[in-house]
Amino acid sequence: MFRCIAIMALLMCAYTMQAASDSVREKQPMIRVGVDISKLALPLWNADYRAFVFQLDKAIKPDVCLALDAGWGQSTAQTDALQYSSNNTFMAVGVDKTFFERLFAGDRDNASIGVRYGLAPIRRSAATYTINDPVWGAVQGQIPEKRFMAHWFELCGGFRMEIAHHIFMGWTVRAKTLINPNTVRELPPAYLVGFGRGEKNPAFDYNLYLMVGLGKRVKKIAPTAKK
Amino acid sequence: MFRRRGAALWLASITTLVIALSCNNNKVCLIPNTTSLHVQLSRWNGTAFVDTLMAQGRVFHGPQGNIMSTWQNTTRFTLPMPPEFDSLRFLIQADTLDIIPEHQEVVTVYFNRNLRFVSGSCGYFTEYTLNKVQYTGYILDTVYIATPKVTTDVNPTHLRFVLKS
Repeated sequence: MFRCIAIMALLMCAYTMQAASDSVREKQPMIRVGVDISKLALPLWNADYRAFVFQLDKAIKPDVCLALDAGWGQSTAQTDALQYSSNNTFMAVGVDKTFFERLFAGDRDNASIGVRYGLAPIRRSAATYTINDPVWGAVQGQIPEKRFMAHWFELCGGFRMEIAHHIFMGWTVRAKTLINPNTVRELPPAYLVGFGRGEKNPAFDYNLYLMVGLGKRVKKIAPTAKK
Repeated sequence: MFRRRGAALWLASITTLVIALSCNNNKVCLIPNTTSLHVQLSRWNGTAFVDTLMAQGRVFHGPQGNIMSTWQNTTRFTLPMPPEFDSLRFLIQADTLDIIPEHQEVVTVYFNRNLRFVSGSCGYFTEYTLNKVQYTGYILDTVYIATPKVTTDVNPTHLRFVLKS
């Protein structure tokens, strides 16, 4: 349910931003929609996680972008001590501020720092735990299924460049801290999509975005040679 | 400029992915998830408790009380806590040669249990809060609960046994 709402919100944001930008296209011509390809590749090296993460951003000032991250995924923990799974969707909104001056009109290669507020409804399955005691033997028990909400703040920084016409690629690294850590204290998800390792707080995460720019580009103005 | 930025982008991307790869192996548990009760033997010298040696003692403990730990010249011993029960009973012999049942100290420790999450790879350990101690009083004069919380921390003394002079 939340996944559908997240996708609809993402598309509606893209649509409204695009519609709003029609009249000011010459000043703020582009929104970008992209996918985190590092998360798509995640199952290749860790079969316990699966995540799909998208980003949408739009310049609201020459050096400030409004950004929306959204996604969903699942994780499983299968160790001798603990077996359970969890899945969640998430949405994070915030702003990015770019560092460098544009070298020419239409120059979109830049480094940025930003902040986000994220929230994620989480569904965790019932968990089976085992405590292996050399004297008292193995003890097994169950933790009941739970649904709960996680909120967090994050700081992010990264670099993005236009690798082809309207195609962008960039990475970000993120430091995140849960606002309500007590909700995950009993048993955090092995991997909370949008946040990172559930048992870590603060957590660190990374993204490698491949994005496409929508909207017309301002014509590049060749720098005039000084006489 | 494009080439320089491109090189920076790819270098940083590869570094990020390598760090991410190296951070994702979390299946090894390096923390013990068993909990032990730490008991300190002492005597009252009139002004303070002083740690004291028990020359040749032994303790019977475990699920059936048939696990024997013997010690020589020790001031401190540890007992594994039961993850499924609400009390722990053990038997102390102050002298291994003295096997008269009436000369043995039977100690019962009552507690509350709570599960505490450690990590995905280690799972849970049981945390205990000591409530009450009962003892027969043949060897022991008094028993004090020094630290009620029993966790995986090996440093605190949980019970202080004051031996009869």
